Amino acid sequence: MKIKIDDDLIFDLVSSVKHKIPGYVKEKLEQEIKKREIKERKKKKRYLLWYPVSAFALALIITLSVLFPFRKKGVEISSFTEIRTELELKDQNIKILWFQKKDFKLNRRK
Amino acid sequence: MNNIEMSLNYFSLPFLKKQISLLKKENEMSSLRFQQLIIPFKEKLYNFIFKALNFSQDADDVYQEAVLRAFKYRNSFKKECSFKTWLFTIASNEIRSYFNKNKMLIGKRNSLDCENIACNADNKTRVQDVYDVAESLDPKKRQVFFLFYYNRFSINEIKEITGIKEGNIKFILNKCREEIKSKLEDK
Repeated sequence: MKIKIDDDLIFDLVSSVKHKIPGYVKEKLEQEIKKREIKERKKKKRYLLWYPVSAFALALIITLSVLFPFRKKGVEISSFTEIRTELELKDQNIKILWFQKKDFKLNRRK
Repeated sequence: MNNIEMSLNYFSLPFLKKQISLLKKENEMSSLRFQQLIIPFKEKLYNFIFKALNFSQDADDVYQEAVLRAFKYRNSFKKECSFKTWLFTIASNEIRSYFNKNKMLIGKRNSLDCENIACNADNKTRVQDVYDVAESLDPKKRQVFFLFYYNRFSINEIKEITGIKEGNIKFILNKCREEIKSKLEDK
């Protein structure tokens, strides 16, 4: 007897072979999924702790950036050009003047 | 509510928690939801992997890897595409990486277990012939064969899953069809 071979027949033949998932595979998979779930939850909790901290930091940055342009400017202090030190020995009539200037080199005179 | 009150409320913890939970609902798939979605495809997925691996016992490991990978990347699943296609794409990639790792270990399949063939005695020889044809295919083509004839995916879906061009899929299926025809008609 000749049979008509079409996609439906091939489909029926192919799907007539079925295997069940072994019990140990199911169990192992469930355990692994549970493990990963717990791990994920712990990770999320850790991240959640950072939200208030980062929100506070953001608020602080925004407040400072808003307030900073309106800050009163103080008197500018000019930079030092010279430091002068005077020493006078009381009974010996000696006065020592010590000038300290910018870029002053000690070994200038040899 | 004035601006100051609003800004204070914005930085309050309950408000943040509410926002986070809303974001979660939009983008995340819970573990329970994933397990619910996978239930109807578990058997089909396992059988597909088992057949694509030529009834090797390594199918257990590949199946586990595929499901765990799907679980890990469940949030990357886009609602626009089908969950089944997405799941089988992951399985297909796992099979491909298995064959890449174990090039030397690809052996001949064991004879089909009679217990697992749900048909009459006449059909059993035909089933053997069909599976002989499937066995003779290389892994990539075997995947296409079982995706079409076992999981009943359309050619477009197979293209999406395997990344093989539509023309090539049609060519593979035609070749298989002809081989099966010649095998079955000879008898």
